[in-house]
Amino acid sequence: MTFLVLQSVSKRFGAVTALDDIRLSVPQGSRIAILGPSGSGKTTLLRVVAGFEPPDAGCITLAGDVLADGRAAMPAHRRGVGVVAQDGALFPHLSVRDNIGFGLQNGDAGRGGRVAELMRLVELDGAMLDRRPDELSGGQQQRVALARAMARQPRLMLLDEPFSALDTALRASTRRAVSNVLRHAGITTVLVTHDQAEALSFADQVAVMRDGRLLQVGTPQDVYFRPVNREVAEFLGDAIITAAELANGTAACALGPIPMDSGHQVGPGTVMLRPEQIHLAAIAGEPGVPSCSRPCVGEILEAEFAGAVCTYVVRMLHPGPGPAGPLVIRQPSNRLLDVGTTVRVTVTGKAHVFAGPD
Amino acid sequence: MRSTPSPRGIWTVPGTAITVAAALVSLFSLVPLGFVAVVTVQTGWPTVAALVFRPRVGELLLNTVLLVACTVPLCIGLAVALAWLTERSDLPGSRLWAWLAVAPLSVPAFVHSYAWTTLVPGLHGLPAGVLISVAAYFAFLYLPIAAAMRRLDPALEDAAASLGLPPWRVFGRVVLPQLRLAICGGSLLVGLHLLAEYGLYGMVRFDTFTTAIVDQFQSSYNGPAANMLAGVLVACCLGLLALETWVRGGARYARVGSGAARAPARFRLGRATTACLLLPALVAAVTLGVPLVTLARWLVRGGAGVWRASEIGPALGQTLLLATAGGVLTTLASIPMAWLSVRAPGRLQRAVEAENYVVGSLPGVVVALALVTVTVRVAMPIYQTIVTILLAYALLFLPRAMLSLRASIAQAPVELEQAAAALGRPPGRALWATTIRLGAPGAAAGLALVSLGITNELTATMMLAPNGTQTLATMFWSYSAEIDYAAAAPYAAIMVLFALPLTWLLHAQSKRVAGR
Amino acid sequence: MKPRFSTVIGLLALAVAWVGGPVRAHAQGAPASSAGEAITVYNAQHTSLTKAWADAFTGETGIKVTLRNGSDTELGNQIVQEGAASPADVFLTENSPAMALVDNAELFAPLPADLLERVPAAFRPSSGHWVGIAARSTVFVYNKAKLAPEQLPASILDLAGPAWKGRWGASPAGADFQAIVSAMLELKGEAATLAWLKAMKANSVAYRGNGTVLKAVNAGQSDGGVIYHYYYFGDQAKTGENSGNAALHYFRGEDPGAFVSISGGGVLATSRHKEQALAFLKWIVGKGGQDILRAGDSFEYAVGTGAASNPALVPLSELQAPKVDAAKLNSKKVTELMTRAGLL
Repeated sequence: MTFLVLQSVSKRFGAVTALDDIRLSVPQGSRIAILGPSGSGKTTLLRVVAGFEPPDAGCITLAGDVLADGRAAMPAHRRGVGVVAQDGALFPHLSVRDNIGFGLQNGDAGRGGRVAELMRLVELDGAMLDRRPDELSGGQQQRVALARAMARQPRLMLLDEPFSALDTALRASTRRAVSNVLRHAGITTVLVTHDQAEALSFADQVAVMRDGRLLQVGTPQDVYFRPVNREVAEFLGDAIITAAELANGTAACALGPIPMDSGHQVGPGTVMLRPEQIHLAAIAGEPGVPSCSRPCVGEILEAEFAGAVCTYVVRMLHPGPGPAGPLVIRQPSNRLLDVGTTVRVTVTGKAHVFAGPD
Repeated sequence: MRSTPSPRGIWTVPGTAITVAAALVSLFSLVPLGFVAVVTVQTGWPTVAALVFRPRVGELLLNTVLLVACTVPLCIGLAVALAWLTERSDLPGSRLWAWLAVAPLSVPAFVHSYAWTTLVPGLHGLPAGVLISVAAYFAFLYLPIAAAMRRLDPALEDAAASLGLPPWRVFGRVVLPQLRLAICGGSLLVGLHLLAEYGLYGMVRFDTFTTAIVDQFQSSYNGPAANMLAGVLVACCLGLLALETWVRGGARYARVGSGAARAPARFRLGRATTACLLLPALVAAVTLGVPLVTLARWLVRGGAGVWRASEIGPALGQTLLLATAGGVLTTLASIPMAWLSVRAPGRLQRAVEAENYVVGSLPGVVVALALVTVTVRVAMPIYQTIVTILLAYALLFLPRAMLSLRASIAQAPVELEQAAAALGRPPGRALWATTIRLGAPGAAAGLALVSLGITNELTATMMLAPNGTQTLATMFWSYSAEIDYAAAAPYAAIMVLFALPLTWLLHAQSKRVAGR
Repeated sequence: MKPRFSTVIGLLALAVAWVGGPVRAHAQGAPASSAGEAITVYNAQHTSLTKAWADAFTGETGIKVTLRNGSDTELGNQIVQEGAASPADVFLTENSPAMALVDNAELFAPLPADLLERVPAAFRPSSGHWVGIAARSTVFVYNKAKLAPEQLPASILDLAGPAWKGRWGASPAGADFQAIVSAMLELKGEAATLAWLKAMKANSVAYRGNGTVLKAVNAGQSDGGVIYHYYYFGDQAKTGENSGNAALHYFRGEDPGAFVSISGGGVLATSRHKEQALAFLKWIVGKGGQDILRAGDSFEYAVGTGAASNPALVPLSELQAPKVDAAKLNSKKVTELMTRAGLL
């Protein structure tokens, strides 16, 4: 059942088109991540849904209520939409207790209990209630911001890059905590982020955005393994993209014949593989000519060790159809390969074929 | 020359010298407070009681309290409203209005009074005092409040809106509390001016402690009655400082989190625009229009005859001399303290700095009374010399110089000093080559502000200046006291012209501090 | 050009010396030290009058005159405090009490007979330590639209009555008014004066300066006011904008309100330029100085022997002023009484 619906929403700032004909529907209780580089318009999208900016055109409805229809927009304070901002936006003049209780009625007898409950929910120690925001760590601030936003039991939660200001270790744990809380509460959530791992791990649905337009909306697996174009593919992670000759459900390319994920395309095309589909193995004890004559063999031109993974630049010895430069392939670094090694390139799974011309 | 390195690394030779210099400046700045204490003891309790606990003092206290209680809230309301209109709404011409809100500072308070008394001759007493005080001083509140509004993180207002607060409650619960520091600081500044000002109230027949002290001084020089009134006035100033500290509380509103704040969206006034334009227009008319039009009227009426070069020339020259020399001395005296407060903050430094602010809050009339008495009794060689008046200026305006300087020293990281030292400069020269060079713009701004203060100073100048000294302010005052308003006008005009660029600097500085 | 640290310190020291230098010279009365060609005058008279005197005197003799302007008792008390170290050579006042103050502290030099002769005995104290240089009469200025001649007070003491509550003004912080009070003190005694001052506190409006009183009366803010005569004549001679609706009432009949105050001049015993100081004082009470009173815009009475006052004024002899010994006027007591009455 769709819950949040955006129909042809557009917004311009002067000459810049921040949102260009955005259409999106989000089912109730689901989580969607809006993923895009900075300047893609994703934060504007969130601000339009929150009611901080009116759209220039288009319609937004939430559970059937019209939030905005063109420039006629319901003000933010009547929308019942929770927002957690990038740095938490905690009120610096208020204690943790008053921050969390900010949206609750002052005279409310249950206010103290509700605040305590929210503190437990976001796994914060009750001893922190009387602290000021600047006495908290970044992760704690974000949890307080979440608790504050949840206090009013919002119908929709908007998260604006809430983890980006945190350092790597804290980011993952805070993200898991927030994710659990929201999942448990069954609140429909929109997460805005530029971090693909965050988007993929957090959401049921990922919407990839660029230059004010939505390029693709789908499940994390969809957008990761079956991106609509090279741009989406590369934005979501490392991709090996190469030209291929398509026929009979097989893509013939520099890496040999690989089964395609869609069987109906024929002729020249472009395919994509994710690095984890590829395995490099040194061809040991087979020096010389014979191995070189086999199709899926290459030579390592450069190797860069970076801890858990190692990045290799591989030149295929028998390039397939179309232009094929050296491939950049990341591999787990449990078996290190030296420069100059001849390797066999093995592919598992299917190659993704881009729908249109690349 | 080896000294034990401390964790902060300040106890180098110049570090010690600077500490000693700061201590000397602070010791000297204790003179006015010491004077009040010593004179009170010397006078003896029965006389003190007779001079302090009398109806006249009660009357003056009531006047002073009423003046502060009426003026400060009016200034706050006006400053907040104007700051919001110029900083947070789409008011047409907001940059012009912002500048017009600050510009009244270039009109000395007693010139405001001069303008109003000649415009509305019967104007007197508390209403006159409040009206003119608001016109003359509300910019002291507008400046910090507008700066704070510019700095506010709009994400907080968004957050409050998303938590269900309508815009006016967002203003009350999120915006106003964050303006508290600016409001407290600005109110204190206005309050201290209200206590210290003489000329403004002298002209509209409103008696405050300061006017009463000057009356006593003119009747009996530094007699016990004047000294005791000074004691009560000092107590009022300290009371105001304590009140501000108490209201301000432990508030620290550092922006939490990182990331650049989004530029705040400006509120669309829509159909209210015309009505909203009325407020800044009215304020500009009252605070700038009245003094400037009146001044122009007197200048026209006086014609060329009032521009007596033989009087204006020397007054201008002496004003420039005092303003420059006083500015330089005050800035030099502020360097050690400013350096310490940035590089080596500690409990002692904080105490010493607080003491300097307390002394800086004392009215000119008290400082002058103290220096008159001290020099005539124990320091005759500097009695009635330019040294004494410059020392008085330094005591009065040290905080102004220190604030500017401290801000710019804070922007010169200590690493630069260390880098210079690592490149082989001895500590003193390392300090000179880095921090002092980088602090120069702040020092210049502070110097300008001090010079502005000196140019408009009246009471201390009248009481302490060397024989034959006539500044623009004292010439203006003596002519307007003889009801020769036309002859006074050129002096006022020159003072305003002087102050305009300095006020512009103040305006620009407050914008820069706010990061825009 | 990289200034060395020591150079900078040196420059700073120079700067301080530069600021301090002229300063010291000033302290000793700067030009005076050069060739004894200048005198320092503590001036409580109207600046414009003393400036006119000083400029004409300097023109004739070449002796420069430096003024320190202030009010009578401020400067009088200042001289007493300064004692022997006072930089003042000459002291000029608007009224006598401050002269008495300095004379009682024995700080004036006796004046030579040829100087004293220039002023009739009525306008100088018997001590011969100072002389009158000008005189002014107490008047009641009133708004012609508000008061008819028959409603005017017969005596200044009447103004303490309830009928005058809120209707009259004065400038109690000024030396002029305090001189009038000192005459009252001398004529009526301490108790009567304090009672009158307390009534004044309740009845009168306190303005700052006699000119302001005149202006307020003219504008009808007060019905009348106690000031000196010359403020009215001065304004009449200029534009009359502050006195057009006003008229003067002289109390006469040796009333305390008919008090004629003597402006005094004396030479300090500690003066280092006694010759020049005496020359200046002698010049003021001589033809040159007294002519400026007659012909200038001060409208104060001339007091020199045979000197005529401005013809616009009511002659001094017609004022029926009370006889008060100028040497006995007690400014300290007056300040004390006015402080007790809450006027200061």
